[in-house]
Amino acid sequence: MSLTSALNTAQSIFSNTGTQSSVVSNNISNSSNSDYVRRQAMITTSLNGAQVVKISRAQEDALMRQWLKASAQDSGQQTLLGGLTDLKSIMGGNDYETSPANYLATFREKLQAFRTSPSSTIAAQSAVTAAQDVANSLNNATKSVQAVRLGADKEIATQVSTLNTLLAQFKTANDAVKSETATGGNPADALDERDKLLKQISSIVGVNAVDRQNGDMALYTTDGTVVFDTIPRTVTFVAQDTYTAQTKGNGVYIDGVLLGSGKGSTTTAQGSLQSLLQVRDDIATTFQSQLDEIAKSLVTMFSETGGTPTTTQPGLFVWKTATGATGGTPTTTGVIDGIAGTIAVNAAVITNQGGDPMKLRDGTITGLTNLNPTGSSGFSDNLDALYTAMGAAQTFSSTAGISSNVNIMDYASNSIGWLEQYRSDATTASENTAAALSRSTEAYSNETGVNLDEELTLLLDIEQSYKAATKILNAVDEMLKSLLDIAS
Amino acid sequence: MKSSFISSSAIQNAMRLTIRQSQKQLVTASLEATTGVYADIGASLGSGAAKSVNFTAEVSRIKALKGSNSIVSARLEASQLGLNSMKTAGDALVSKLTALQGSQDKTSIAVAMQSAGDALSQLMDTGNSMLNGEYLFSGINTDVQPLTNQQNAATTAIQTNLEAYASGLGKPVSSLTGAEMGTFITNFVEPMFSQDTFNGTSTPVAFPPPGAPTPVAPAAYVTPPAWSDWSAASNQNMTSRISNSEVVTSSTNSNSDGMRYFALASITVSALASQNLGADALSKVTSTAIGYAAQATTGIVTQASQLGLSQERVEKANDALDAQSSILQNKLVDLQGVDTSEASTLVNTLQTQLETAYTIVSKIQQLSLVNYL
Repeated sequence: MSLTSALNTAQSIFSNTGTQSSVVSNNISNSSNSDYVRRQAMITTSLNGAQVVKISRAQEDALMRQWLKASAQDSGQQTLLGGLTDLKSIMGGNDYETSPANYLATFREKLQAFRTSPSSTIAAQSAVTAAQDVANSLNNATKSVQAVRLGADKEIATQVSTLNTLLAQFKTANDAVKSETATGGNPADALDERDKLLKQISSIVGVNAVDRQNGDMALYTTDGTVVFDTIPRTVTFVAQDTYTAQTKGNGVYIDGVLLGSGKGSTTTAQGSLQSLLQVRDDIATTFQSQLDEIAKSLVTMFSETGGTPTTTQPGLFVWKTATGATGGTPTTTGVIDGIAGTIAVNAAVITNQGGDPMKLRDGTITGLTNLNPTGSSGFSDNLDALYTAMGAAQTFSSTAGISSNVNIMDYASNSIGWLEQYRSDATTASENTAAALSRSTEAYSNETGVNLDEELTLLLDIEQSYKAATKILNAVDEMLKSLLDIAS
Repeated sequence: MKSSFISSSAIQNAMRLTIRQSQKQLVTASLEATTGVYADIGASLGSGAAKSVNFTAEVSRIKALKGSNSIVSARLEASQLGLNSMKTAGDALVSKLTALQGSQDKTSIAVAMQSAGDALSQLMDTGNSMLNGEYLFSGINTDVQPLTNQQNAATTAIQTNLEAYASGLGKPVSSLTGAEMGTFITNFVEPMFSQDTFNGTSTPVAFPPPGAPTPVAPAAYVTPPAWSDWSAASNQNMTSRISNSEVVTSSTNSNSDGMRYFALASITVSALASQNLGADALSKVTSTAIGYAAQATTGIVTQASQLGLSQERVEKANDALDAQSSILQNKLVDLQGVDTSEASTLVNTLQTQLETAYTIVSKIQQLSLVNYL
């Protein structure tokens, strides 16, 4: 009876060591998989005295939550920084070579040179060419800013579709966890799969995971919108094919609720979606407004007034409205969306379009007035007035986000300052979130990851107990043999 | 169980962030060590980048202003040179006329007339001098030749009018007294140069002058050329901006008193000295011409000194611009500059740090229980 019991025990040792070594080898094979959570085969004694192996999963919910938060924040911050870097690259490198501010400064210098030699056709053409460069730089900057917005819009569309796919997969994993838990099975693999999906989801949109009965999990955004509750909620977004300064981007709706965009340079965005919305609707739009204000100011500053009845029309710089009509001299104090995209130099002063650059000197671009009726080639009063106007403070719209009573040169450089301050803060913040994520990953990995050496020592243990079991088996066998020998 | 646990992947990845950050810093620091400015000005300065842009633009603007100031200086210097040669010619005329005073010697008269002709061609030559395709003495009408020589027309008109004037007084030209000659010059010759036009609306001057003796036919008065026939210059001089706040007059024009009197003195001599005048009348012509030539010299000197003031202001403006520029450049260096020695020390430190990290990583990689089983 007792020998048989010893045999049974040896058998159970074999069975247990088999399970244990399977777990250990599974651990070893997943030692470099960051989505894998270490399992442990723990031997416990059941009520009726049998030794059973229980497989436990080194789950660490608190660290997991912290990791999710760090990941969402880092993803948001890095996305924001990417958008800001894209916008900055429009302005050129360290010297801001391609910025409107730089071209404006050159234009003012050329205007001064023309003012000193008002009879020189070369000086006149240089000034007009510099004016064309200013207009071109504003046009290009507008195109690039809108390209950044379009890029963000496309990225949002891609991420929304990825998010919907992930949520569908999350449902499958969650259902598997629930059924395994309910039937007393081993949900470890399903949990791994669900955690992996959760990590991917949280880098797109920050979520709070709430555990419920039977291992069920519900997901809410940080604002409290339901993302997943038994079934995935639909995330909807309508992308736009083209972006102009007048285009307003569509919102992202989760379960019918509008997802807010991130705020500030150390962004409040949780996940990349909110940051993309921030880049598209806040930063790029404000920057575009600043470009528009520069363009509006140029058109106004170089407008000519005269004729009967007295009218004012755009002079050196002309523009087109959104409908393509020729724009008049702006009178609004607000921002005219898209004026920087259509601003151009009047053909009346461009030589190869049949114009005469000297009209800039005489103030006869529009034909409304002639400030130099005697046609003196040394007439420089108008040029001096224009040069002085470029250095005079004027009112800019306060909605464009920067100081509103400076001269146009300062305004253009302040616009760069505004963007750079944003980027500088975002760079610092991104270093912090990256470090936080790295630490968080380390802590989480330490709690849930596999240590090869430890698994190997466990394997040695298992080997030893297996060897011991074979010894027992041998001993019992010998003993039984001896007994049978007596009997024979 | 264990009190603390570390996973293999945490061990392997422990140095990754350190290495990544060090490498990034290394690139930045080595760039800063070589260029002496921040590798990424915007990220380092934030809104200070606006100042950096402003300062750079300001330095460049100062450079442009200095460039245009050099054009202004060249124009002023060339004008000074021209005025100086006019003054020299004026002085020569005065000395020749002084020699003629009190003498009716044919040679002296010829010399004086020669000198007057020289002085006039000097005026024409210098008055029409150009620089960079612009006439120097035409005010803001820089593309129009300022002076046209009306010597023949003026001489003929003066001589005809003198005949008519003498006939009105009932005597031949040779019997005119000094006083009569003086009146003739004042009423008939001087207005030709002091008035821009004889029938203009702004300065309506009647010709012949009111109260002039009525000539006996066939002699008759003819309307002589006025100064606007000589000079096409604008009264408005060129102005130039020489600094952010200063605008100076950077040219003068041929409508100035100096040049009018200069032409007047020359023409008076060349038209009247050859008219077989009596000693008294010739003496009056000479003395009046000397007076006019002296006024011409004074006028030209005044013009030159006005331009000299502008020159001085340009020089002062250039000095101020230089000072401004160097201040701004220093500020720019303060703003954008990094301590290159600090940066290069940082490069060395980072290099050591990275090497250590690499060594540690390779040591850790070798640590495995597998090797001992």
